[in-house]
Amino acid sequence: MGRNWGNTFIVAGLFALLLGAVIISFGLGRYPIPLREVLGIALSKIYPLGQFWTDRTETVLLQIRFPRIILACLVGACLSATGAAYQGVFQNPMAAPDILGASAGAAFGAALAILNHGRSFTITVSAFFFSLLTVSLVYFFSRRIKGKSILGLILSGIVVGSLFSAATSLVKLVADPTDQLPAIIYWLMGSLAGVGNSDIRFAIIPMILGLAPLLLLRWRMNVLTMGDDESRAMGINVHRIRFLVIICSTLATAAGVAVSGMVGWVGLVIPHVARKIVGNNYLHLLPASILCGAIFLLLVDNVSRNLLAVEIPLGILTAFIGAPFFIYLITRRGEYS
Amino acid sequence: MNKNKHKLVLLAGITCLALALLTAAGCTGDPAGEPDGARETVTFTDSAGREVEIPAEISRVVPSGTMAQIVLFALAPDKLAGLSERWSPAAGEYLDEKYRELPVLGQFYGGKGNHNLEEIARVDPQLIIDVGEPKPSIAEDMDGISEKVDIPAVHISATMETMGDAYRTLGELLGMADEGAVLADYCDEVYRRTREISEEVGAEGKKRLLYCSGDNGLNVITAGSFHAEIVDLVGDNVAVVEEAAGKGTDNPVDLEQIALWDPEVIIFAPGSIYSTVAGEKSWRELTAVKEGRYYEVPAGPYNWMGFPPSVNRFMGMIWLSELLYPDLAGYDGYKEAARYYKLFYHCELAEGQYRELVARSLLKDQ
Repeated sequence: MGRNWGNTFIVAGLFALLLGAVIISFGLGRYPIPLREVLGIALSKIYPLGQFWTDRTETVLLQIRFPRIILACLVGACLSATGAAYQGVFQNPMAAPDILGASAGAAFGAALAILNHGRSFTITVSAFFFSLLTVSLVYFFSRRIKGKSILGLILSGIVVGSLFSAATSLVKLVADPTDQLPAIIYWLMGSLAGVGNSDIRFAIIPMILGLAPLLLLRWRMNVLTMGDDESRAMGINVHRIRFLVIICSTLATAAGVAVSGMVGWVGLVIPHVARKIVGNNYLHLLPASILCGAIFLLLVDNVSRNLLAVEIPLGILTAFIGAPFFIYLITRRGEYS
Repeated sequence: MNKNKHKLVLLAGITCLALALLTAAGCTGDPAGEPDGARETVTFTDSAGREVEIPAEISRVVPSGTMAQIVLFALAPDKLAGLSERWSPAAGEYLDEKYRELPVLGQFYGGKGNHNLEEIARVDPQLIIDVGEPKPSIAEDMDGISEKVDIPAVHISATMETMGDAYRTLGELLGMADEGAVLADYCDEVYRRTREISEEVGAEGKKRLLYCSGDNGLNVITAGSFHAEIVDLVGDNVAVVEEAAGKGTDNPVDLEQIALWDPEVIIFAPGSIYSTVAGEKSWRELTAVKEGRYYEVPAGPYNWMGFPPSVNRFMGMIWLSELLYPDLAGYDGYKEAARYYKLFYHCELAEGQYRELVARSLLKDQ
């Protein structure tokens, strides 16, 4: 019991940390806005206040910085939560949100929309639906594979995923090299540059529809990690729970990837960080993963938008930070051997 | 439990450190210039049919991409408040130092790009200008930028054919009608002359031409693509492929296909295999290589044939016409290049520089 209370305390601490990071992030940006004006603009939304900032400042804060900060948190939370959930239901520590082809499908959808001169909202919607379509295909095929259902899912994930990757390459081949091709490449590198409030409005519903049930299924995920036979022995309908987790995770991942592009490593690394902090019990692991993912992507996106005058794609930074960190984690004494 | 607490403290420490570093990095520098306040504005209708409120007098603009950057640099180099892409290293030889030090803001591509919106707001231009082919999404893209940075953005449509009109519009927009007209007339004139030459040569007389790029020379520009406009217009582009095989540039092909096309003339992109091709057994057997009719596209500061497909292509039209049909075109290469560099890059092109630029094409046999 003591450990549980400790973990609850840690999760609360992470939440406070996230809040603090969000507040400080609002003061960061290439366009200098003093914290005083940030607070003023925030307060003026609930309390009439004399305007002591310029209109430009308010626009930059509300139209550029606000959506980016919120989406960085949301995308980080979604990718990390689905990574944690998949690692549980596939009983595999190397599982990541893209294991069932969600990212490969989204990439194809985005590339296709860019090829057809889609506007940025069309690109997001297309990425989202192709992501859902890909995972549905994977699930459909896996049901027809005899034998172990986990293996079937992962195998058809690999096959369908590489099929969509090839299709994306084909789109890149036929795309215009000075305009569409760089747009596709930037999308594949992942970035929150240019996201707006409309992206939040689009992504928030599927994200909540995905994350909330995952949080409610925490206890059952704990059981699933023990293996299919054990779970059945405990009276759990393994297929139904796994199906539910996959649906929810796919919704959350698809919405996240659709607005951010391909951001790797968050879904694989952050759940392991969370494991180090709160242990393997999903009761705390899932909330901790969500919070750590949000904090991590928020920090990385801060670097992405502040370090240079031009944006550094997010996917590059997450890999540069994520990969060495992951090596550090797995080479530390003992735990994965 | 104790161990966990330590980790949390460590995590919190790292977070604070990272944020502190960022605060230090992010808050240096003040926004450039004063807010414009209630200055006079006019309504401008751009090529996408959008009515945009813009300041009556414009002295600070930023381009949306490299295409616009080159077009605007020719007209109003001193009004550029930022670049979308650093000038190529070769530009040092031609462009004035002050233009090379402008802040780089990244390029806007419709979906995601590397443009940093806050940096654009900080540089504080009065207007964001996009120049290029009209895309279906352009109105919404321009509105999107405008809304986010509170700076008007306009789109000016321009293709090779309509570049003259684009310069007239830009001249009017920036209060530089005379300068705009000079560039517009130049573009119209060069395009008209190129068409005339092409018509005089006739479909039968056109040289069978192939443009190769890539570090093995095996990428070609296919007929009918946007980037092949000059190759298609001046020469007879042999790289005809089926729609499904991909349209654009850098389409990979193999040498057998090139041998099958058997072009009379091959032009290589800068940095491709021009200098080594004569020694390559497999290439040596091609008619164009065997007979020495292969050349390299001049580059400086930009490739004369495109990439980006901006006004640098007008120099390419002159060059290719002169290269393929010298008797018909009758251009004075140096005079034309010097005129072009004066108009578009604002520099005096020395004869030595010109000879260097065309040493591997027009002056190859000398």
